[in-house]
Formats: sequence, C-alpha cells, structure tokens
Amino acid sequence: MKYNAKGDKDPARELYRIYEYDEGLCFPDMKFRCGSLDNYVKTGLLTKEELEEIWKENDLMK
Amino acid sequence: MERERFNEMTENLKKLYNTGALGTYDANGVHKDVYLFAHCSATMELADELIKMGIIPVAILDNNPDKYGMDYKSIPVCNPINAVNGAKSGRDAIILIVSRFYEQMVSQMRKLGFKGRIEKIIDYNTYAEYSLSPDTLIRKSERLKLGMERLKKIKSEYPGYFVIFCPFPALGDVYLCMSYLMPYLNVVGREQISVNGTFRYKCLVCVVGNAQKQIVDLFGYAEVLKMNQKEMDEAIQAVIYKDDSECYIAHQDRPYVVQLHRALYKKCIPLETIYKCGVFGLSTDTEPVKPVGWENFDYKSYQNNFDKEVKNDSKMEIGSNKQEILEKSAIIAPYAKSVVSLPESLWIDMVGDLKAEGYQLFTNVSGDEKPLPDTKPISPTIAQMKSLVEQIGLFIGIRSGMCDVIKTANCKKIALYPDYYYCDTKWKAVDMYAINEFENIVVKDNDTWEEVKKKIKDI
Repeated sequence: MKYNAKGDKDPARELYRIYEYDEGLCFPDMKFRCGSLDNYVKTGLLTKEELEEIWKENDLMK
Repeated sequence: MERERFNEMTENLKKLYNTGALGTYDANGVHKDVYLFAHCSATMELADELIKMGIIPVAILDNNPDKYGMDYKSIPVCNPINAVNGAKSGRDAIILIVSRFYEQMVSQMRKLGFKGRIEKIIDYNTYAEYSLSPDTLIRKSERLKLGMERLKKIKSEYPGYFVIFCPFPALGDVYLCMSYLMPYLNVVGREQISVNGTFRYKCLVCVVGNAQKQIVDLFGYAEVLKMNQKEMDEAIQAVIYKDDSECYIAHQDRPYVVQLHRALYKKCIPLETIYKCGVFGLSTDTEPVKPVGWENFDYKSYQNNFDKEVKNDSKMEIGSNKQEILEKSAIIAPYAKSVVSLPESLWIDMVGDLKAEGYQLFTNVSGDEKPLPDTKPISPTIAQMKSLVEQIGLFIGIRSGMCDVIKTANCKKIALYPDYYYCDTKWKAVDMYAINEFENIVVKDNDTWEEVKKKIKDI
C-alpha cells in the first residue's frame, strides 16, 4: 500500500491525506498543490533562516 | 463569520445555556466562570453573543504573550493558566471554543491541569476529524472516494483544464485569488484558448456560492464551477490525496498544511501579499489583474421599482428628492461575513448625522439583511457594484470582501475596521486588510460616530 508521495510507509501521512488528521503535526517536506511558506523565501519576504526558525519555534518538525 | 457558522454558534450557545452550563450560579450564588479560548474575531463575536445573554466572560485565553494586558469590551486577554488557577481556587469554570484548533486547545488545557468542562461551539473541522476510530476511518475513506469521483467528473466535463479550488465562500478571498491567478497561469505556462472570439485560459475555477461565482465571471479569463461546501471539501481532499498536478488549491489557509499564517509570527504580511507571494509564489512587484466584466447599474429603473414598492407599503418612507440626480448620497455597507461587526448604534448615528447633512442614504443588503433605518435597501449584483458606487459617489462600509470588489471604483470609499487582532497574531485587522484605494479607518471599541467621523477626511 502506498502511504505517501514518496511511497514511504508512514500512517500519519496517510491519515493526513485521507482526512487532514494531523493532531497538530505538519509535514514540511510534503508538497501539496497549494501555496507554501517556501514561496515567501522565494519572493524575498522571509529569509531561509527565518523560515527555519518558524518551523522550529512552532514545533512543526516532529 | 459566515451566516451559517454564526447560526450554528448561536444555536449551540442557546442549547448550552438551556442545559444550565452557562449563566447559572453555584450553590454559593457565585456566577460560573466562562472563559473563551483564542483572541480572534470569531471569539469576539462569541463574546458579543454572551454579553447579549447577560454573561460576561472572565477572560479570553491566548497563547500569544504579546496580547496579555489587552482586552475586548473589558474582557482581559490572558495566559491559559489563569483558567486552571481560577478553577483550582474552587471556581466553577467552563471554557468555550470557536476555533478550528479545538482539539489542540483541549489537549493543552488538560495538560495544564484544567479539569472543567470545555465546549466546542462551532464545529470548524468537519473534514479534519481528530479521531483514529475505525468508524471515522471508514467514513472519511468513503468521503475521499466521493471526492475522487467528483474530481473525475469535473475532469471529464472540462478535459485538459487546470482546476483551481477556492475552498470557502468568502468574496475577498476569491477576488484576491482572481487578481493574481492570471499572472500565476502565465508563470506556469498554462494554455490559452479562444472562446467565442474571447481569449481565456484553459482553466476552471471552482467556488462555493453565487456571489463568488460572479467574482470569477467578473474577471472573465477562466471558466467557473459553483459547488456546495460538502462537494468542495470532498474534492479538495481528493486533490490532497492524489497530489494532482492539474489542480491547485488557491487559499491562504487550506489545506492546513499550507501554514502560511505561521510567517505572521515573524512579520506582518498583508492578506493581498499572502495571496500574491505565499499562495501563488509571485514576485512582490506583480500587479493585480483588474476585473473587466462590469455592468451598468440602472438607477432610474431601481428608483421606479422602489417607488412601486413604496406605494404598496405605506409604512416605508423615501426622501422628497427621490427624482433628483444623486448629487449628495452615500451607500452604507454595515454587513460582513467574516469580521467582527460594529455596534448598530454607530451605524444608526451615522445615518442620523448624514441625513441631517442632506445625504440620501442606501444600505447595501443581500439575502435577509435589513436596511438601516431611514435608508433605502439596494441590492446590486457584483458586476453592478462599481457602477452603483460611482453614481452614488460615497461608499462607507465595514471592511469586507465587498471593499475588495469596489477597490477600482472612482469615488470616495471609506472602510471601517473593528479594532481586533488577526487570528492569534499581534497584527490588527487594519494591518492585514488595509486597501490603498480606500480611506482606512480603525473604530475603537467605544468610539462614537462623532469620533469616527473626525478621523475621516472631508465628510
């Protein structure tokens, strides 16, 4: 069974894909067909360091 | 707040009240402590409703320390630990939540040691359900299946089209999406086709709501498909699941993995820039596309119809200058779906004052909205709004999506901003929503019309 875009077996990601079950988690490495915080870096609104701080400060990498 | 959500909120409040969970007194005659979680516009609307019911919340709990010491209608904003401490001191407490982060908030409060009742007043997350039960998984998988079928149907009806989803029925969001979708389509090299001699992109924009459909039509460069919220949620989940490269979810906050709001903890990025740069990844100097499908508003015909209605309803009154050209008139827009409302007294005082100055006044209404007393109701289509406000000459409205729609109109335009914070950030509504083409006026909690008027130039 395919669990995520990369084919990794990751039930949390599969649940997210089925019904946005995330329990506060986020998957910064998963790209969806929508906007992204990376776009702010691309357009110069945020620096790479600021983006990394956002992920870290908001505990989004767990 | 959208009308449907507002109704859900008031209905649930009433139910809760009737069970005795609110507004009751304990054995010692001490009023139950009601806390609200999250200092945001939805919570302020909840506070307004509670105050109407005679219940004054003890505090608004929030995790942003920058907000501590602030208040809304004298309700202080404070650290969530206050609710725990209050309960520990023997107070009977309840926490009410109108946020999509309900589950996380409950989890936080339980970890802090709050043992009292916590109530979800609006169920924002019908799509994102926080349960791992087999039943939930089955239901959600079924829902996803429906979404897949819907997406397949859309693609068979619009073969080869790039499909854009605007997830919620918010005028301003759809307007901003359409303002920057065309440059985005150019950047990603989407195909253009000729339809009846008019150039259009091979692009379908899916929206919820009639007015939102009219916005897409107003821009005139893409096809549009209206669906209901359930269908929209299903289809979006299918896009997330399939990672479909021929689809794009054009919203600042959906799917939630987008996390664009997190940048607001670092700096203020106005909503328009969020769409331009965050949603579409366009450079900061990208110019917005302007709508082209405007239609003329036939004031004479409106007046004739209005006069006929007045003849049939002797209770209604209109000014003696009804046949005059609109030399001194104003259209007032007091209603908005997703922002905190302004006190009715402010609008009534505004009407009284402008009437005294000889203004002929109109209230922009839709659906079951009522005109302000002593004003005429007027309900133009989206495409007629620009023509109407240009004929009238003065627009005064609460900052809503309608302000986006008329931003290119050539007349005096005033947007009023209730003094609230954008979500859980330290930025005010005016920081996020100000429009260059408008005079942007902040209305403080206790501001009278006289005080607001002093802030406006030449009125």
